[in-house]
Amino acid sequence: MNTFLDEIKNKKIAQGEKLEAEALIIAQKILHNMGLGMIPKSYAEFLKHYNGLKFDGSYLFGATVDDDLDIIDKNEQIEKPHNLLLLGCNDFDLLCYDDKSAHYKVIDRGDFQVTDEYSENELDYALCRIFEF
Amino acid sequence: MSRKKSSYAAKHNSFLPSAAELSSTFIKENADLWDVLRANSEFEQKFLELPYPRQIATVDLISGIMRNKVVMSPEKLHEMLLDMAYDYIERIGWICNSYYDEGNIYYPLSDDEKKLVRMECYGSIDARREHELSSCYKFFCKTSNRGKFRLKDYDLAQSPMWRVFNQFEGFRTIAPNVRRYLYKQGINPDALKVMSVSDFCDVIHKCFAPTPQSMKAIFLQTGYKKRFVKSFMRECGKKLYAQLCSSGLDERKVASLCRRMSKDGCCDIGSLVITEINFTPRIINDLKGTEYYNDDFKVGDKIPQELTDRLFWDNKESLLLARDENGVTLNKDDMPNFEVHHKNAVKFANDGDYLAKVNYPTNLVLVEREMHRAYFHGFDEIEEVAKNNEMYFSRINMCDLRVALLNGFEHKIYCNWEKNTQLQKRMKEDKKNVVNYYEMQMQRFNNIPDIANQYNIDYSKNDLNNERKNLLNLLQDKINVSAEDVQIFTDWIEPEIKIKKQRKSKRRKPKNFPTKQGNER
Repeated sequence: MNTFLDEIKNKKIAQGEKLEAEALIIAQKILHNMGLGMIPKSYAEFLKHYNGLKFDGSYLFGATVDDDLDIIDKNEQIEKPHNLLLLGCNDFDLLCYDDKSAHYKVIDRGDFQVTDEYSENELDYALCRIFEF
Repeated sequence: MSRKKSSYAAKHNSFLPSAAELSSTFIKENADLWDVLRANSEFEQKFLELPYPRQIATVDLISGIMRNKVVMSPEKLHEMLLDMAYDYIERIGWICNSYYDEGNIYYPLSDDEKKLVRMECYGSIDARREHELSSCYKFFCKTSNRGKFRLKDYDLAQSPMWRVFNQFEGFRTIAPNVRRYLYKQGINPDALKVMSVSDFCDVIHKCFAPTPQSMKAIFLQTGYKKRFVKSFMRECGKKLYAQLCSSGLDERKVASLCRRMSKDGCCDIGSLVITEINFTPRIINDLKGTEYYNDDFKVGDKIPQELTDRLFWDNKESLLLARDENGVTLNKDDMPNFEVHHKNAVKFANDGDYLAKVNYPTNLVLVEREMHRAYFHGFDEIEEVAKNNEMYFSRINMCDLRVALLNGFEHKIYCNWEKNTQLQKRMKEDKKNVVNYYEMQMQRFNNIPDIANQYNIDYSKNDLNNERKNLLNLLQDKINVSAEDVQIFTDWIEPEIKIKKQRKSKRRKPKNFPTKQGNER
């Protein structure tokens, strides 16, 4: 199976600013203090390739100064279930990470119901689910 | 159902303390907006005089107050503040043809139905994981026998779950592909009777994936979200062009955005390439020596549309890149970022009418991104009440279904979709194909034991557990089934409802919230 990175390679999506180690640490620290847990390893790996991503209403957040993609800002601004770390969104869904169960959760923006769940090693599926081309 | 302004607040024009007197950091950060909120009778005027980002900040402030992010003491002052917020959100609604509805009744949709709405909207489908597929389907895939069955054996109308797909035009158009795929693979036609929504998703994914390894498959070249944008441009493109130009936006930016919206149905600014409208010396120079060059090209002349289209088609659009007087490409910061918003939310689509209309152009509106977030979704679920087995959620609703675009709070473009013959035809077909999801699931469940016995399929509890997840939102009173069946469903659904209730209670107001009087349902 292709990876999500393979899927977006040909989409001409700008890569944005590079992930700086310090930015990731700051994000981890603040998100942890907000009670949202840490950015999971697999997602942090993804951020090394794309430190945030936006295309036509679909977003993946990163440790970036871009206001549209800043993971800390978005966790403060966007309505979401408590205690879940928001990683991205599209028109319908939120992509969150549940630190307790170590699962990625796709959550309906309207009623906060979990519509899909993915284990940490299924990040590609979760990203593909949220990122509609 | 809007909240009435307190008479005390109405009596005094300036009833709020000054920003300096307030200890809340939330308000301190927005001190400059406090004057606008204190304006009372001139609120609309002051609000409209604000630059767009500050209008958004004002809306954020109002929703913050309504969400009790600002807690004031004494309690009376806090109540006044809340009254004011409810009053102002009503007045902002008047400006942009919308209103704050405290109580939209919510009949939950099943996860399957939600997924179908999303898939039709985007026109894409992602790969299913093995555990999402039913045991029966996996059995029939393993025992497929190419050449054994005839194409006419595959009658999708016999499949309860395909009938759920069939409610949507987007899926009806690909029904022949689904039949052909099943036939080509030699999957036993009896599988249709027991296939789940996920099983059909797997078939559609395999039908349309560019390679078997692809995670995404585009089953509609233009999903209904993009179709809406393109239809909007067909009907109202000129109005949008004029409106954006009159707002002072560089015409090259306007033309590039409108072109992209018309051609691709895409409003994304990030990936937008802004091109010149007229030939510049630089462009003519760059084109010279290429197959695109023509001796008739003159500096200042309009670049022919065909040339622009051809260069985009050939991925050579950078030859037309617009630049400022210093040769620098244009900044996109001042461009509006439109997003598609569902006027009646997907979550409220189960309103007794038919489901497919949720993706109709009449139910979609293009809204500038910040307004989409802060206004149209900034007031979601401020009120949530469960009463008599019904749930109510607050939301911003549109008053006028003809509004097709909102560029900020004041600028609207209307479109009368009702006259659209394509839509009329679609509505007619959709109404013919309406089914009840739960009844279809019931039919499918009734088929499973027979098929499992007939083909000796190892059908276990696991399958039932997987199915249970799909029935999360079942409402017993929405279908007419036997008491025994209701009991089966209740057993499945109960643990899920408990989880749901726990989740909801976690989102309730914090302990120190002041009571908001006069707002009980």
